Amino acid sequence: MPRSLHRRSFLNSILLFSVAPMAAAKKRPLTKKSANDNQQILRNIKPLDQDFVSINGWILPKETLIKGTR
Amino acid sequence: MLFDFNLQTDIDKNYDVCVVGTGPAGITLARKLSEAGQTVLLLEAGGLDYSEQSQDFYECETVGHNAWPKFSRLRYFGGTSNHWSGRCRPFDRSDFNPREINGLPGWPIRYNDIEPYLEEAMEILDLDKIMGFQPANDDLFKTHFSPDAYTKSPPTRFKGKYLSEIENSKNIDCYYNAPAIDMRLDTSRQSISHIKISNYNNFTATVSAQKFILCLGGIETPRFMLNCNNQISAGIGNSNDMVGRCFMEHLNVRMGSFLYRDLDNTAGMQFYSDDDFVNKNAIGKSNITFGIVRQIKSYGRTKDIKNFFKNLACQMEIEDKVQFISEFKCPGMGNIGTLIEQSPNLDSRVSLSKKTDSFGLNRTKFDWQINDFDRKTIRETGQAVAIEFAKANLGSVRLADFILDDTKEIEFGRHAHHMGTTRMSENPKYGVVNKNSRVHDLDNLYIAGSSVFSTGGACNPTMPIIQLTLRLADHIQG
Repeated sequence: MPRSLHRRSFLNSILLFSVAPMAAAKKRPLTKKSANDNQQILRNIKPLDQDFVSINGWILPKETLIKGTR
Repeated sequence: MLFDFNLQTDIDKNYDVCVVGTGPAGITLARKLSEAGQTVLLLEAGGLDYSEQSQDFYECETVGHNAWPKFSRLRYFGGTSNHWSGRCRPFDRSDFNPREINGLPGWPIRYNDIEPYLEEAMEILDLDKIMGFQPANDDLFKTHFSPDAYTKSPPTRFKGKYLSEIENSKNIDCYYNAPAIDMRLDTSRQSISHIKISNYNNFTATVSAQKFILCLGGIETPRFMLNCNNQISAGIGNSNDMVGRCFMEHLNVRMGSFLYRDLDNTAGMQFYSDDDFVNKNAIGKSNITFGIVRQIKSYGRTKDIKNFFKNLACQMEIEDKVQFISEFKCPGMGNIGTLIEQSPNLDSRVSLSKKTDSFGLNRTKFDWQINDFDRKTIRETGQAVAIEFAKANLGSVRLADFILDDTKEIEFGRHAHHMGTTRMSENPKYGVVNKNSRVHDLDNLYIAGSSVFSTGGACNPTMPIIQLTLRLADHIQG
């Protein structure tokens, strides 16, 4: 194995071990929205009639909100 | 004949009819009566052209919503026809159906009473009689609204079209710079005996006629009647305190904005509320315009809007979707403008200010008010039109917050359609003129123009003004 490759692997490993924990620390942990958050968001829906709602002033069919849901 | 009352001050004839005001109603009446062989004195307060001196008489005290009369009316020969837009649509048959709004009766006449004058009114306004009133666009909404059907006048400027005819008429004497400053009753107090006029050099004269017709518009007509208070303190024709009440405008409400799903669609659309929708909800009529104001050209906005529709259709949890829509900030491609019927309302009124003009007449005190009936009309109409837009799969509407939240004050503007201040009613308790436009209790004083409208519908007023004026001309001729 050439000597230069040894040196590159060594430097790479140093870099990886020093940077990765910092990056990981910055990344927000994946958390599910709480039930409270969801309730708060759903409060933005104002029903207009049986078929239509308003969200932020936008008038949309209820179906649009339900249909696309997984 | 045409006279400048600042220069020519001899008026000693007794005319058959004195017509006060040279707007569309006044000029139409003078021409029709003259054709029938009657001698007509036609009076104009302003000159032949615009002047600040004359326009200043529209300066008023505003205590309610601002109707801006000084900038929307014109006080010179031809009146406000000198700057009207030319949009014409006649009243609907249903506008004349018997009804009661805010405790006040609707029109005492029926559509059939003015229909015979439609063709002649179209001629006067230079409208294409063969084309008629065509729908503005396809019938895209399933219910509640139909395409608006209207036509455009060039627009007809009454001064340009009729000044020389009046100048050459043997039966019409037209005096300009001749504002009416008083009106007197005879000893019986059942007839007008004469009108006092002035020029701008403080010269005054009295003019006599068998019949008098006020054609001063929705603001100046009641102001003049209320100012004629030397013999009766409440003013002439005001025994029931109705002169100046029920001021109506067409409400100019910006309902919100819209996005077409098809970003290449740049077509405007106009709709008119259906009778079923209006009757079922017990609201006023409306004329709705979808107008494009921003073409979607930039990549960033195109992408935003495409994402909006894509996200509405995609697989996403409801909460995420709602959050996305809540945070979607887009001004829309266009705005929804309206011309909405205001209901007659006793509290919305023109009365007299303590301030006076240069003739010593009290200026107008303007108290334009809307009420809960009108608020309901605006909110129900806004929500219905947004739903119809979505149902038609055209895209999405974003309504102004005051449409959805009834705790918020409705924002609205004007259309410069001043109506209802000497409204027509067979019962003197609820109006100023009877079904023949004659002032109750007086046998020779009539009113023409939009001030006699019992209700205002949702069409521009010039066409019905001309129809009603032609009807009045027939009545005066007997």
